[in-house]
Amino acid sequence: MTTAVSMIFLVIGAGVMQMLFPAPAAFGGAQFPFLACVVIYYALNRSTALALAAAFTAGFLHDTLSEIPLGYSAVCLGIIGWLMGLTRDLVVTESFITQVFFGAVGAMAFTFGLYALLAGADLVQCGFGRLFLKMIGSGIFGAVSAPPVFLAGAGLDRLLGNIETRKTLEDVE
Amino acid sequence: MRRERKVIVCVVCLAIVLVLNLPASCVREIKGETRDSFVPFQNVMWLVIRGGGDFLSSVTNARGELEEKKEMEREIAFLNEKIVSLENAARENEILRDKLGFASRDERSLRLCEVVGRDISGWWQTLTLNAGAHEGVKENMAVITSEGLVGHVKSVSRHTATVLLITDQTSRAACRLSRSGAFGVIRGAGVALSGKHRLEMLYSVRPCVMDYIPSDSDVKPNDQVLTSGLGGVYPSGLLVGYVTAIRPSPSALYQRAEVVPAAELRSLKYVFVVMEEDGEG
Repeated sequence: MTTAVSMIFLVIGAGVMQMLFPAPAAFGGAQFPFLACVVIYYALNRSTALALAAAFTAGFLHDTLSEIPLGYSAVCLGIIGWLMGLTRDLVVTESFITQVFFGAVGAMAFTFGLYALLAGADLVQCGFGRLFLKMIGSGIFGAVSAPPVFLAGAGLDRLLGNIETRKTLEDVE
Repeated sequence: MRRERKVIVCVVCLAIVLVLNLPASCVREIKGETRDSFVPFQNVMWLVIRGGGDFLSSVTNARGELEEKKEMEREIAFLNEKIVSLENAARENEILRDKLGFASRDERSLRLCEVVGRDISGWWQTLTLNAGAHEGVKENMAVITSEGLVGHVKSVSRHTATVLLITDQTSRAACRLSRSGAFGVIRGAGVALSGKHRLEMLYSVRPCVMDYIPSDSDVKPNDQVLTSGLGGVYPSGLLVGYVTAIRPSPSALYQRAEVVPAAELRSLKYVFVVMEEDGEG
């Protein structure tokens, strides 16, 4: 229950922040991907199931606050969350470099995935140059957004007592 | 624990499939309700940001604020006097029209709305307003500022409305040039990357493009572009922008004009929704 509460709180906060930050034209109109970073946080720090739940919640909010058809963002974020969850035991998630790297990669993948779905449905038009610039911009903003989102997520989880112990390879906690 | 996680995964996957296949009317309802629920959070954030900004500027610029306040008081007094004389002129105009048998001119009712958010995805150029169906806002109503046309209402929920800006790539408007009277279609040209002055830093807007202007029309830079009212969405006579450059279309049958929007689209805080039109004189 407390996990659900913290997830909803985090998603709403990320949604508000994402709406308030402007999309600079120099980066192709890329947005700060706070919502995607919430999903990446759950993928790397919790379980794949929670990452998918976060992907659905964040994707739902992302679609309702824009003109994107309902479900598109959830599909993209779900795939990204699942793929990143596969690396959970292979990386040090508390590391700043890890958060920056995965934030950048996740944001770029989200931009590309969403563009593929929107262009396939003929809802947006974007040349490859502009798309590439937007992906680069998303990557940079993802790298910047991830550490504060991870900090907020971890702080909230500690406050509500949601932290789980993790098994190491030798089964020692 | 493992079983619980499998259940969560199955439920989420089913929910995603369900959401992807919802009927359009259902999607519209869901989106509308969610946007309405989200507005209080946005309002709180704006209050915090603006309050913080006002506090900082009052601390750092106290003397300047005082001078500005005096200037604004002088301007208010001047404007109040103007309002009284314009009201007298309007009354006289009405009496004379009545005596000469003229019908009433267009009277548009405007509703002031606050901008509470922008597109969250970065793929469209839209605004969210804090007024919706409950306040009388309907789809396809024009949205303007004192400077010019901003866009039109794309979708409406109970307490919010989404406005599609004229510079969005999917935006189209039937226009005419005020000087020559030539008709054309204006379309949004998206967001530009260059750094000219009219291209703002945070939300740069590439000029709009006006197509299908007859090749024999006399079009010059700085010509005003107004809505023609022929498209059925925008009322006629709204200022869209100014021509900056003209060139022939690839087919050489028409001319193509680049137009810079008259309204300042980067930092919109308040806009007017054109609520009704009572017919033309």
